[in-house]
Amino acid sequence: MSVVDTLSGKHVLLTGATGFLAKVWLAQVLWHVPRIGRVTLLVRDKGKISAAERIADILGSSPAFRPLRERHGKDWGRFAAERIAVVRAELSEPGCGIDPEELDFLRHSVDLTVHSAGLTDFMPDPMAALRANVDATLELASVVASFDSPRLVHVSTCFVAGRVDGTIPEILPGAMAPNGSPLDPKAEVEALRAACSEGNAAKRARARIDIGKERAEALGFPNIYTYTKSLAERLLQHRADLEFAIVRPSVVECAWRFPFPGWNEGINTAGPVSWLIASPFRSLPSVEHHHFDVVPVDLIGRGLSLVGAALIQGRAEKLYQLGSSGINPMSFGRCIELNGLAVRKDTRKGGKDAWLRHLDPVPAPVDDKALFTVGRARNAADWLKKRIRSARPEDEWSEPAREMLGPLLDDLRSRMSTRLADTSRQLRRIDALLELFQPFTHDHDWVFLSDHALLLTEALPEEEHAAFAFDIADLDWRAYWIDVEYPGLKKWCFPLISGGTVPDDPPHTPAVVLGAPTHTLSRTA
Amino acid sequence: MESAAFVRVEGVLTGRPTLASAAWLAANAQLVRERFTRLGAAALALPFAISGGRTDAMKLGWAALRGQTEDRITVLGEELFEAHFDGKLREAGVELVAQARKRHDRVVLISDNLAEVMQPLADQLGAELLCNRLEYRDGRATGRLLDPVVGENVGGMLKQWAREHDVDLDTSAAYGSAEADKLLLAQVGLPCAAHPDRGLRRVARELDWPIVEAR
Repeated sequence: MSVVDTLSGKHVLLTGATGFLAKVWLAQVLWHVPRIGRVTLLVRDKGKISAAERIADILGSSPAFRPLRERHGKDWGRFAAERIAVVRAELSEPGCGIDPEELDFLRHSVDLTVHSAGLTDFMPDPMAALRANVDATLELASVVASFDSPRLVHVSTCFVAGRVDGTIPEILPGAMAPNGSPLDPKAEVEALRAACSEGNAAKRARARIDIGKERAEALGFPNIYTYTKSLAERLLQHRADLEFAIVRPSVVECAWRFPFPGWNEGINTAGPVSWLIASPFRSLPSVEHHHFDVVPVDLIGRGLSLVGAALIQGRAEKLYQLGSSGINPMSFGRCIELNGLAVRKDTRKGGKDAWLRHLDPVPAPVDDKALFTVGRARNAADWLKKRIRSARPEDEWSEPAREMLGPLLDDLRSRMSTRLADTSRQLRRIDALLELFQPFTHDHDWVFLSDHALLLTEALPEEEHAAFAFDIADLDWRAYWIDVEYPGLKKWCFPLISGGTVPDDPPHTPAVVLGAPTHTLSRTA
Repeated sequence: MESAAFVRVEGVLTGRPTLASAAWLAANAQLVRERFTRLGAAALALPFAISGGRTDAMKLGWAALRGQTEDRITVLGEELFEAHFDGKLREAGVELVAQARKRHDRVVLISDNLAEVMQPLADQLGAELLCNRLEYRDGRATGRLLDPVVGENVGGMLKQWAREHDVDLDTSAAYGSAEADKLLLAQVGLPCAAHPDRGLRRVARELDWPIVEAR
């Protein structure tokens, strides 16, 4: 099965192109299949910025497209504009909010639709999660079902498996929730919507989140994200009017090789854990022998290409899990030790926190009473701040001493309490992040089988292995974590955790300009 | 058949005893309390090292790493090399390696240190490596060294290596600095005592081996 031959000349419709995974996948496809017919991106306007401007900005300065910008140089804008079209869409609206004329063109020309859009916050407003993860999927499915080539690759997550332990096979969910209670997805969506529209919940997002969290937990899902993603999967799987394949990535982490080692966008699951290890905290909430199922984003991109090609060729399975634990497992114990070793390597030549290099992090249960836990540190910072603010030793001093040293003391008190308030705020944020990630880093031990992607990899021609193989078995965790993942997180993720920003590349010149989509498509490009 | 230059790292290229490496790795175990136990275990090897039982000292010293992960030993091995060997080699020893290169000899480093520590050195000098290797099971050191253990009895090992690599020992050189290295030097046609200890100096004088002094 040649991915290049299968995708060449084809028209692919892609959602979620402003997100981490879809960006990498789009860049991979443009890199390895330059003869692709067209990729039409369904994107929302954002405020006054049009969908096309958003994508042009991404193509011009996102590091995901750096290799393509380097390969094409000044010609990049033309290359991109010839292959990428942007269509304004609002996926959860009827007909996905696509202009009817545009929709008509798509209906007769699209060969494959890849749905990567979604709300990936773990505990969002459930109404927003329903719109983004359920309504949008179903609307898109209806739109795709009306296409001449009704093929849909739907990106979900391995963690729809819910709060269970053990081996998770690649089979679609049945009529039961993860905890064994019956689950009618249609009725569940209606019930959730109704619960969020009544009383206090109708007014307050916090109340809706509590409701969503409660319902998710009552069914055995770790959070609102996996709960709504599972509902979407369950509703999609009963549709007979389209050919679909569900792709479930596990924890998506820094790029292994493409666009370049270490690239990452946003705060991913390993981010807060690694950030903590680079800080004075030595006890990480996790269970040593549990599997940490992590896959570099570029391997997920390869998996998407494999599944997309298989779907076009009519040989796709209904479900693909893209995980590492079933093929090349890494435990939390190992991950934490590798993180500590990465910090050590990073500080070999000294640095701000070089003293930490001699104190290795260790996995610790959540209820651990270790000295340096985030909660304890936060309490200590708050206590100290209060004490400093309330302490008035100068009241006991003589007038001259008070006049001479009082302003100095005020200044010191103010600086120290500001610093402690910042620390406390940051610790609160980390604590909240760790709590959010706890089901994945501590509570459960999942082993996700990914045999279907391996079978597609085996079917690849030899010359396409380097571009498309789901070769997680070849990943050396030590080399990846120490030389790729940790430096990647340090550069692209830690600043975000600390409340800062990560700069994009300098804008490409000449600027990428995407015109209105044309309704002609070269099949032999 | 080719010729080779066998260079005993300890003494010729560095003055740092191997047990110091074992102690350093033991002292950098993951848990702080574990470090003391491991250091104590490594210290048990000292009497053997002092009394000349190099092989037993190695076996005991490296046993202190039992249970440590391959990840840790590999990463810390590189760090140990950078901290204590890189740029800190004895000039005279490095010069001997350079001369061997000029003669187009294959350069073989012999060390009772671990491959994790010595491989970066071998790579840096463009040399091959005969050294100790830890046995790992499920990613953790068992505390045992894989055979053949590099200690004082390197003669047999050298002969086997020469056979396997089509190297003529009669036209090969060897450099050692401790009395225990006499067994190594006796295997080759061109033995050389490089900044030798008292024992090896005496042997070298008796057998008329050339002596190179440290600079």
